[in-house]
Amino acid sequence: MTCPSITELSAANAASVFGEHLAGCLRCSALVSRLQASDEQLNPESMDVPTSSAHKPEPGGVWTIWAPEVDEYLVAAVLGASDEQALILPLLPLASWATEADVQLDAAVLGYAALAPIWASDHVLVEQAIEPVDVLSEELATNLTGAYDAFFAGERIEANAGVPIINDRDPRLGAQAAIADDLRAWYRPWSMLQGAEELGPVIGHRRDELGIDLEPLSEHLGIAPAVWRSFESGEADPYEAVPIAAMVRAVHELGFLASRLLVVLAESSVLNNNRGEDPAQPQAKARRRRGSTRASNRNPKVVQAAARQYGASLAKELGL
Amino acid sequence: MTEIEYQTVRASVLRREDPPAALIDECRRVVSLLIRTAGLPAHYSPYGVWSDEAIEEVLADWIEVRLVSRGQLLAIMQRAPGLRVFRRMAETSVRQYLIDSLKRSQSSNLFDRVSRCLENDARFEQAGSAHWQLCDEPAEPFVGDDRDLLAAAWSLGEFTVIRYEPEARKLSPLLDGDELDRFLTGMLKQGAMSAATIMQALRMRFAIEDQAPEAAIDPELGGGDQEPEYEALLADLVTATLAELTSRQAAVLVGLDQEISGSELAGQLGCSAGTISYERRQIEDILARLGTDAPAVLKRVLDALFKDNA
Repeated sequence: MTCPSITELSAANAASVFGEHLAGCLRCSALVSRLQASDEQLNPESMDVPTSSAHKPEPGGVWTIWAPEVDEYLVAAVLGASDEQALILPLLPLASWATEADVQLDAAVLGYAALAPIWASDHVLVEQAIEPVDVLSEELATNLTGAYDAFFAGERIEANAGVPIINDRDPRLGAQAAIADDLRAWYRPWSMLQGAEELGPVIGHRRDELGIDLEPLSEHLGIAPAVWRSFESGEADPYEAVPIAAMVRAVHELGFLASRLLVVLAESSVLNNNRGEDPAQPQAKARRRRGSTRASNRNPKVVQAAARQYGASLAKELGL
Repeated sequence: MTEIEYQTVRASVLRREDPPAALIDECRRVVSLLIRTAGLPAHYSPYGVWSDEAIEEVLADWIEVRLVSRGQLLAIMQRAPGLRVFRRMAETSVRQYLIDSLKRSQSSNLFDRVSRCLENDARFEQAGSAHWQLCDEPAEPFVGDDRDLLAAAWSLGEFTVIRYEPEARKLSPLLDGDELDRFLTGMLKQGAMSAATIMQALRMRFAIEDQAPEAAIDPELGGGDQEPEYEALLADLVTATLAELTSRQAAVLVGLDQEISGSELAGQLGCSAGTISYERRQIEDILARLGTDAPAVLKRVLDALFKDNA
């Protein structure tokens, strides 16, 4: 939770503007009671999703990264990127805390001394990358990627690593725990979409995480619980079973960020479960003998077309 | 400054242009409001009192040293998409600048204290040319570069730094006697070393900058013997302490006061137990700067946190 400035907590209407924050923040609530109200009036600000750059993040770029729950940007180097996600390395202005798992960047690189916590690299959605603010030299980009590869291979970071931690009394260990906790907010939109290769089980996991029962949710979405359960189990085709409007509502209700990665997962659900029946071909009605396996008559072109169509419609409705 | 003006200013700073006048005005407002409303104790002032002149001097030095020379303005602007976030980050930067200035002013006599301690304390003895060692744990001379020296210094754990003694009307040393003793002993357990090497370890571990002229403290300032003034000082210190805490630190402080265990508190706050111990040390550091006032301030800070959130 990030707090308003003293300037703003001193404003005459601070209690009403920050009502929601004050209800959950001991520190600011106590401060507002103590500070003399000034004449300044504040305008409530909304935390809408900022518009991201028309450009896509590419390796070697330094970008600002947005997250739904925090009002400040993370500045990070992009180590790798696809159309849906980017592997980033945070760049933190805390240079003196560097350990052997961090790379120190002197002020000549970014304009200020910074620390690149290699151990804290992770993925974000491309929709979270808001604006490019710098470009690393080819040499430095290669060094940081090399440091990432070395660290996750259990090897020593060669270039500009910080001073090693040699026992558990070192206060930098606690600082790393706090950094990891703080960075989680930026990684959550991507990590929420992990755990399965298609959307249904990912949604089921998220629903469980939030403690929402399946039946009220499916009824709220206008889908029969059995059908929704089947979708969450990775056994139902959303193209046939989940209308786009219901899917969009589910995405919002469960707190997912609208993203290309989510669309790809939805397409995977269709690809995995669509029956691929060609509407132009008559349905086979032959009876199967007990114990026999149904011969696959899936038309891959039909399956792919359904996935593309569902993905395009979902992307459009999500505003992507 | 309006939000729209801020966006224009931010774009120009991100393009690496000079900070516009409107931004300097906003910074002046941030410094002035922080000092006048957040109860920053007067010993943080370059003159020992918060006059307009002192505020202007802090503003000018902060902008020159931190925002421009060290590039913090760019760092802040990149991370602050809106005016509200900029103000919060700027306040943190000013506060840290003032704390570091105080630390720098107190480091001037550190070398003398280290040398005196080594020469006068019977637990230390000279071993060869200018090297010191522990009498009961003789050691080979420390071998290693600055990185090894710094790693050894970090391995000694957390230290509480800077103490303010309002009753004595003076700033006490960067590390108090016990903490300096712990540092010296801990370093000499890593190997025999010279006083200059120990000083280098201190400089690196506590990020002590080059020595600056010692701050002149107004001898008329403060004092525990004048009850109303002391009460006013305490009230300011409570506000300053609340302002310096983060939301998570405030919650940790309340949890610790209620004797909730670290792991339970971590569960309640949705963070790791390592973060709780880190925040606990940050709180100790904030309280240590209050010196002998810490117990009284802490009590009132807790009162404020409980009363206003009852």
